[in-house]
Amino acid sequence: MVFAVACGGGSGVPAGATEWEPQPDGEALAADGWLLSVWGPSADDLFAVGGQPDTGRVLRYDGAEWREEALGRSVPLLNWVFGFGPDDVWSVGNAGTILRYDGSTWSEVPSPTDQDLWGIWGDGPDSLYAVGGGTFGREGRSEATLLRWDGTAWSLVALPELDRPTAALFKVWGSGPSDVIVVGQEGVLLRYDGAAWTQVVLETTRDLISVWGTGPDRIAIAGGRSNAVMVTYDGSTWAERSLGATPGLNGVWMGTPDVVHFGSVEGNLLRVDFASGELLDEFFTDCPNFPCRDVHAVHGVDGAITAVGGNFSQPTGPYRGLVYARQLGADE
Amino acid sequence: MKRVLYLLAFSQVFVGCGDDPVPLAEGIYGSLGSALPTATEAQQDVFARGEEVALRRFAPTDGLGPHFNVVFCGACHEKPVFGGAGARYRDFLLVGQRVGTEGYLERGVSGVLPHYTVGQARRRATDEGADAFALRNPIPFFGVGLLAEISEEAILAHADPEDRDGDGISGRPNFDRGFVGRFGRKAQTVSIEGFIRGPLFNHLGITTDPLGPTSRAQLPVPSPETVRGSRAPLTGDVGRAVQFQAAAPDEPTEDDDGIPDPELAEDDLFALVSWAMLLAAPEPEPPTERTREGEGLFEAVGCADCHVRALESPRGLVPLYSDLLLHDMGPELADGVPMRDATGFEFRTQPLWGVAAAAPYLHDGRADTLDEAIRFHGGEARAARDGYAELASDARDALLAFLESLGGRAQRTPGLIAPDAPLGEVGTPGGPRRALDAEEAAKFLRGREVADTDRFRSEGLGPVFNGDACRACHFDPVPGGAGPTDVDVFRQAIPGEVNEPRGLAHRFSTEAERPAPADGATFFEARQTPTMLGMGLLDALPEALLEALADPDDANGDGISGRVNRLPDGRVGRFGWKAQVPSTREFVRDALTAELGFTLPPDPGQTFGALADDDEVPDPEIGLADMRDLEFWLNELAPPAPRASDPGAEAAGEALFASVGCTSCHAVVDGPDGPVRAYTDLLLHDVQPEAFRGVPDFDATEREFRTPPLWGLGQTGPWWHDGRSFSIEDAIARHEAEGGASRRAYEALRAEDRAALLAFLTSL
Repeated sequence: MVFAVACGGGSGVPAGATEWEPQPDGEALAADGWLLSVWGPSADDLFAVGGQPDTGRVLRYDGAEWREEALGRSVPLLNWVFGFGPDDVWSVGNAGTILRYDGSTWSEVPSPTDQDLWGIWGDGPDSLYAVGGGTFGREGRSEATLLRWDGTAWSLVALPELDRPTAALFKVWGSGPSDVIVVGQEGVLLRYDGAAWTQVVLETTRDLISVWGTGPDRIAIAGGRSNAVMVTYDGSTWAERSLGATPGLNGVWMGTPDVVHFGSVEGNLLRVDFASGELLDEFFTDCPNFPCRDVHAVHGVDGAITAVGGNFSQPTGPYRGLVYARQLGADE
Repeated sequence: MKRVLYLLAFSQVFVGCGDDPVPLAEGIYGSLGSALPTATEAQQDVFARGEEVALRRFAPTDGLGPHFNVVFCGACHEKPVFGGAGARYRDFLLVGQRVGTEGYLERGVSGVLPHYTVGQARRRATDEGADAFALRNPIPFFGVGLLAEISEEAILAHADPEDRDGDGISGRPNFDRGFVGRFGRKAQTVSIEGFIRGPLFNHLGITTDPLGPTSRAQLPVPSPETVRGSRAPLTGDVGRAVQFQAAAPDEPTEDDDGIPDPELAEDDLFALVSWAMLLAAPEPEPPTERTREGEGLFEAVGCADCHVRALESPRGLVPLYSDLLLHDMGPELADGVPMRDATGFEFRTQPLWGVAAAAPYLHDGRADTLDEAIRFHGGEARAARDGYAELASDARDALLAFLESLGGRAQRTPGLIAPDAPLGEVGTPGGPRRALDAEEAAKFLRGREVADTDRFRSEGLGPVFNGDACRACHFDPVPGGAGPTDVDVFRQAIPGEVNEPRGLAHRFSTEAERPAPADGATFFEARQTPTMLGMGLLDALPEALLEALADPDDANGDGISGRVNRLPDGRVGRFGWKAQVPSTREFVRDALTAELGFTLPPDPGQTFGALADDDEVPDPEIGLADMRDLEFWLNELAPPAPRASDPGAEAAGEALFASVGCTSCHAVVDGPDGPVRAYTDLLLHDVQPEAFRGVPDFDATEREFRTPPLWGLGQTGPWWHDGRSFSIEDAIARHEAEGGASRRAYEALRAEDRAALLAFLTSL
């Protein structure tokens, strides 16, 4: 019998791209905490959020170095960050935590839920969504949660009837106010068309962790937990793929229509062809100590891409964060 | 593999990746349940500690539940010794919900349907929407540490997912966090830690955190600290993660049972994982001409295409007779349950070492024998199956002889009692209650074997059943004893002004389904397994004596009004929680039918048990001779012997036991041969709280239960009819109605007097 499998590498470093590099100052700041999300208005102004299970933190990159932001308060673990510019940044976290940054101060915004919030995205400063719910094994304490910011307050949004007993929604992203996608536990996919939320029924029942795209016909979803699941939408069809030997996907970002950037458990950074699902290349972050650090989020802006993560498989610590970055090539 | 391009073709397994022949691994064999002979002294210590954890009975106060199937690891991995497989009574159900055309959503607890819920002595409802069930039979752990050491290349070398060589065999790996899976029926798990933490949660409700780096570094299967390329370029060789044991599940498990998580300490989890890793591989027997012939046939008909003889590990070739790959077994074996990348048709090739001692066979235990297991194969194995079936009878026997020679045969037993186990001393647990002559001793041993033997479907087990042997429920502390709460059975009833009994709601069927309750039965009541030790002394008590003890109208005004359970035919009941069975002979008949699904021969004067059922096995499914042997064994089993540890306190406790009124029901009665110190009047009493609802049985009302014997009390927990008391004191505290006055008197005692009374009870 014969077995052949395509492996890491293969397509070469994209033109103009550099190799992934750890960011020593960022990792030094994250030496005692995880990083779960990164976003920024520009390559020289990035925000990364995370912390320890009971303590949230925000790091900020100014183009030269990473520093810790003063939050002025103690908050639980922060899970996601998104914004509209250097003076309008939002972050959500455990126990319903919602923070807003106005360019000078982080303030806590009243939240209508005590569920953990895992994702936030908006199509404008007066129109945001946040999602969350429970984690694992907490029977009876978890509730899939969708919130809406209308410019003045956050409120709960009623979910459509789901075909599976999902307890958590993990991320939200949209291509515009009438095209918003929410992904969550057990393969739940919700879509908002500007008027109503409906479930897109997928075959996969694995957790879908995050979603990104470049437009309404170029949407990519990362998930799978242990083994990678990639879901794409090309404007007409939702395609579901198991990526076999690739470990579960956490983070996803797209800068061009044809290349999807993923970050996975076990610290892998991948590029995958949007249309075919073919693995273009795969990079392994350092694993100086077991357990390896997982990549949780990837985000690109201004020709650079940053990945963050941590050793989430060590829930009792010691906690170690991960920050890697590289320059993007022209076609990615 | 994904990180390096492989294009390997093996002509035979004795050639590894290089040119040099790879030797067979040495120092890997031992008797089943023993540690690897290469284990260091420190590893032997942790092996012993791990086995203690595997055998530890968990209670709700330890974190058991909220839902559970079993109360200890060894419950499922006990055959023929701890660390092994399990009989059918330890099968469990996977439960899921179909989504779309191919989607499958795990329901229950991580896809497992637990039978029990702590504090709710009721049958756990099947999850709403669940429409997919699959049966699983426990698999042995022998040699799993050696499987963990096998390289991914060695496994992938046999993969041929597109069947490019056209041999009809297209094995492919399953993956777990990017590593080649190797454990579980679908190779869904790469790490032994994961393979243990999952069931701890799914089957026991015991939460754990992943092992920390320090513990993982000390596991017997090593975890090197640096396994990857450092800052590798986008192209090029980036090195490989060769140590998969570090890829254990990433999340802590959590539950809401009120016990702080994690419920198992890291030291204990480390010991448990280490124990599993250190279990020796079953040692094959020296080849004979017959087994060589069988091995040749095994290869000739194609079995060895999947059951490859050996895979390479750092120790050399490990002869497990499996490629550890997934194969499509066709509709013949499909269970419809996807696990990671495995489909509902695919299963991992089961290792065959030690297969002689691992019956029943296949993922759901559907095969009683190796011959049957082979004939059940399908899909990719169809050609090999047909090749086997077409062999001459003698050739098939040679092939089976080869399989049986792959280890474990010397320790194989029909049940759990070791081959040639002695009779036992008179008066000792499991031994006879009196000296037996040679003929009686032989009958006693035959009866014990009847009780201990795991029954197969082909013998008449089912179609629905709770246990596949008498010993399946009665094994604490010895076969014939009581049972833990994880073998409780459920009585069912149609609710009404008076609940209308509908017999037992069984745990298992011989089909991969959860037996449905009787029509309209929505009320369930758990029943704890009582001890059978000393049964003959109770069987010998004359009916007139029990009738004389009764005081149905409380004529003496003491608030205690015991009644006999009068059966419709006039006999007096004495066995069972409701005293619903009149004799040991009827008890045997009742249990064989109700718990095992056996049909029985008629026996004049006896009314219990079924004479026919609708399975395919001719009735009766057991003979009268076996039943008489079983009855003899039960009647001759020694009662639990008192175990004094503090005679002074126990004597004081006995006096207090009488003075607070316990002996009004828990009485020592005079039998034909003297006092019977079972501490029961065998009568029905109402000791339940006001709101209690139960299931009537013959003349016993919903609220009435027979006074349970107290001998052996310290070794027969948990207590109460539904096993909800995990301490004797809690059981005392539950006494109401007729037992209320004694309970209050007990509670009014000084602490040291209560302790003395408990010491007495524990010593019985």
